[in-house]
Amino acid sequence: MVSKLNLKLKVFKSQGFRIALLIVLTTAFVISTAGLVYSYSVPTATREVYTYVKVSQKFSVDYVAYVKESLIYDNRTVITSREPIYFKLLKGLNVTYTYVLTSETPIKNVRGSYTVTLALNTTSWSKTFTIAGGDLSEVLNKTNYLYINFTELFDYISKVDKEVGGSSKTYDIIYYFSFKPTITAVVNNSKTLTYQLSLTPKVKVSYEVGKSVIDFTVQDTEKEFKDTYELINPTYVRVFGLTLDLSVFRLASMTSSFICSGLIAFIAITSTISSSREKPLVDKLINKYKDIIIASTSDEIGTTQASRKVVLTDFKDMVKVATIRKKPIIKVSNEAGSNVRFILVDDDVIYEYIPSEESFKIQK
Amino acid sequence: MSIGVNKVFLRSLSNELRGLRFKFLAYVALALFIFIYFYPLIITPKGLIPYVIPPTTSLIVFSILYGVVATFKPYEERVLNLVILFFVIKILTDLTLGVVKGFGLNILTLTSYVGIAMNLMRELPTVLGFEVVRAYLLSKARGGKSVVAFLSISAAFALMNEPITRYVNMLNSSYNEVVNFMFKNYVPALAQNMLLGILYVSGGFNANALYALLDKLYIYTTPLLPNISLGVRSVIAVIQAFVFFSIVEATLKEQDVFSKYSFKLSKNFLSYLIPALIFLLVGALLLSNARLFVVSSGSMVPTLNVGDVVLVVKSNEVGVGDIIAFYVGSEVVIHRVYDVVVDSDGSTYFTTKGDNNDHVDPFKVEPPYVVGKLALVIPYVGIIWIYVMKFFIEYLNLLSFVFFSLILTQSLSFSRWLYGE
Repeated sequence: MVSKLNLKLKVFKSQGFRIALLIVLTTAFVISTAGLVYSYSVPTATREVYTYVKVSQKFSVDYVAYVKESLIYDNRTVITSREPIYFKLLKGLNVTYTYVLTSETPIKNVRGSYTVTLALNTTSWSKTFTIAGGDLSEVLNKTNYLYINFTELFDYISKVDKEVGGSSKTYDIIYYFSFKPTITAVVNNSKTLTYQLSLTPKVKVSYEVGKSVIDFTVQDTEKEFKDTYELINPTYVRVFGLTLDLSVFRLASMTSSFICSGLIAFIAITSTISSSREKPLVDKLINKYKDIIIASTSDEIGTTQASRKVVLTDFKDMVKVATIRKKPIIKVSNEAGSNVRFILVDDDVIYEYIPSEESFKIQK
Repeated sequence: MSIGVNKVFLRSLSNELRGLRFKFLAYVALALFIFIYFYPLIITPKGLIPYVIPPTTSLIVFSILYGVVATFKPYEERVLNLVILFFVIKILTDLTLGVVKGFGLNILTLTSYVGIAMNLMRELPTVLGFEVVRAYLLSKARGGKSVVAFLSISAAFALMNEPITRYVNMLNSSYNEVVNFMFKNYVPALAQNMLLGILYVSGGFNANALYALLDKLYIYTTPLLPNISLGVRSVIAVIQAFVFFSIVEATLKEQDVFSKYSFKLSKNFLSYLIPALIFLLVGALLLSNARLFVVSSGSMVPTLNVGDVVLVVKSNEVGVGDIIAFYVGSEVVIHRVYDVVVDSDGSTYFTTKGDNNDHVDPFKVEPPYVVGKLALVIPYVGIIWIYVMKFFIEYLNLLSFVFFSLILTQSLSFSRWLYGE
C-alpha cells in the first residue's frame, strides 16, 4: 500500500509528468479562455418573427362621365376618367368600384358589412344620405356600380340653396365607403383567431364656382393588417456532448480558466521550488543572495591585507555581516570553478566561509 | 579524471539548457504580460472577459517569473515595515482630509459584495503579474544603464495604469485635456511606479508586491473616501510619493533627516531668509483677507496691463470708480465699478466695465461675489506666471510638477546609490 503511494508521489514528482500536466492544463486554459471570448461574440438568444395573418384591403375606383355633345369632346357623349370634366357639360358619372381583400396566409372565412354614405357639403350647408349598405359578400371581390346623376343633384342643391337663402361657392359631393370585414384564420394548424378589420375610402367630387373643371379624387384606398408573434430562441453551446445554455457556458469557461491558471501557477511554482531543492547548497546560496555576492577567481583576495581572519561556519552569519557592514560577499574559486569559498573584507578583518563537501552535492 | 571532466561538462551543459529554457519561458511571460495590456484592441472586453483574461494570464506570468525575483535583499525587513507605515500614513491622510472636506462614497465599492469580490479577484492577481514583471525587468537592469532602465520601466508601467482604449480615445482630445491627463493621471501614476520600483530595488519583490496589493485592497474595499477633486487627489498622491521616497531613503541611508537639513540651512543665510519671507508674506495675506491675482486680459488697459500682479483687499465700502475683483462663475474678473444700483427690493448690486471696453459688462455683481478692492499693482511681474499657466492650465498641475521634479531628482540619486553606480 505504502509502496503504491510512494510510486504515485514519484510519478507526480517526475519532471516529465509535470511537463505533460502543464501542457494539458495550458491547453485547457487556452480553450476555456477562447470559449469565453467566443461566448461573448454570439448573442445570448436570437429572435424570430412569425406572421399569423397578413391581409391587404384594396379599394379601386374608375368612372365614365356622360356629357353633352360639344366641340371640346368631339361631339362624344361618354368620356373616360383620363379626360377633364367640364361642369357645364356634365350630366352624370357612372362610377365602378371594387373592394378586394387578399391574404398571404390562409383564411378560414370572411364576413362583415358595408355602407355607402353620400355627403353634400357646401359653404353654407351640408346634408348626409345613406345610399347603400348590406352584407359584405355583396361587394367583396366584385365590380360594383354607382351612378351620380349631376343634373338631379344640382337641381337639389339649387333648391336647398334657395331654401336657406344663400348661394355657395364650393360644392363637395363625397361618397364615404365603409367596409368592415371580420376574418377568421387558422394559425399553426390548430389555433383559430378572429380579426375585425375596416377600410373607409372616400370618393370626392368637387366643384368651385368660377372654375370650369370638376375635381375627382379618391382617398384612403389601401390598408394592410399584420398580426405577428416573436419567438426567442436561447443560444446553446455543445461541449463534449453536453448542450449548455450560453450563460452556464460562460460561467463554466470562467471557472475552468481560473482553475487551470491556478493549477498552472501552483505546478510551476512548486516545480521551481523542487528544482531549486535539487540544486547543490552552494548554487542555492549563490542564487538566493546574488544581489550581495560578487564572483572572483583571484587567489590573492583575503590573503594579504587583513590582520584578523574570522572563519564562519554558517553562511547566514556572513549575510548578517554583509548587511550590517554593507559589504559585498566575494565568491572566490579557481578557473575551473572549484575550490569555492566566500570572503567578506571589512577593513582589516576578513570573514571567511568555506562550504563543506556536502554543499556541492545535490540535496535530496 | 576523464569521468570527472565529463561530469563538469554535463553539469555545465545541464545548467546551460536550464538557462535557455528559462529564457524562453521569460519571453513567454513578457509576451503574455504585453497581451494582458493590449488585449482590448483585439478582444472586446465585455461581460466576464475582463474578469478572466487579465487575472488568469497574470497568474501564469507570476508563476513563471516568481522564482527569479524572489531573491534576498539586504533591506527587505526594514522596507516591509515601511510599507505598512505608508498605509497608515495614507489612511490617516484620507481621514484628515475627510474630516476637513467631508467624505464621499467610493464608486468602486458601490456594488454588491459579489461585485467587490469579483473586482478583487480581477485586480489582485493582475497586480501580482505586473509587479513580478517590474521586479524581473528591474533585476535585469545592471551596470551603468540601470537608472535609465529604472526610469523607463517606471514610465512604461505608469502608461499602463490607464487602459489602452483611453489613449486611443485621446487621439481626438484637445491640448487642455491632454495636459490635464498628464498631470492629473500620468504624473501621480509615474510617481507611484517610481516608488514601487524603489521598493523592489531596496526591499525585494515582497515589498513592491505588498505595497501594490495593499493599495488595490484599499481602493477596492474602502467605502468612504475624502470628498476632494481629482486635481487635489493627484497632488496629494504626488506629495505622498515624495514623502514615502524620503522616508525610504532616510531609513536606508540611516540619515538623521533633521540634522542633515539643519546643517545645510545653517551654511546659508539666504536659505533662512527666503522661506521666512515667503512664510511672512503668505501669513500676512491670509490674516489681512488679501489676495493676489495676475491680470490676464487687456480689458483694463491702460490702468492694468496683462502680466500685472494686483493685490486685492476685502472691503465693505465699494463705490463708483473703484476697481474691484469679483467672481463670475468660477473665474475672477477685475473691472471698475460703473454704477451702484439699488433694486426694487432694496438690495444693492454693481454694474462694472473694463476701462478698455466700450460697453458695460452684461452681468450684475452682487456684494457676496466681490473678492475685494484693488490695493496695489506690481507691473508686469506676473508675465512669467501667465506663460507657465498657459502650459500647465491649472495651478494644481504646476504643484504636481514641482513635487514630481523633487521625486525625480531624489530618485535619480537614490536609485544610483541602490544600484551602487
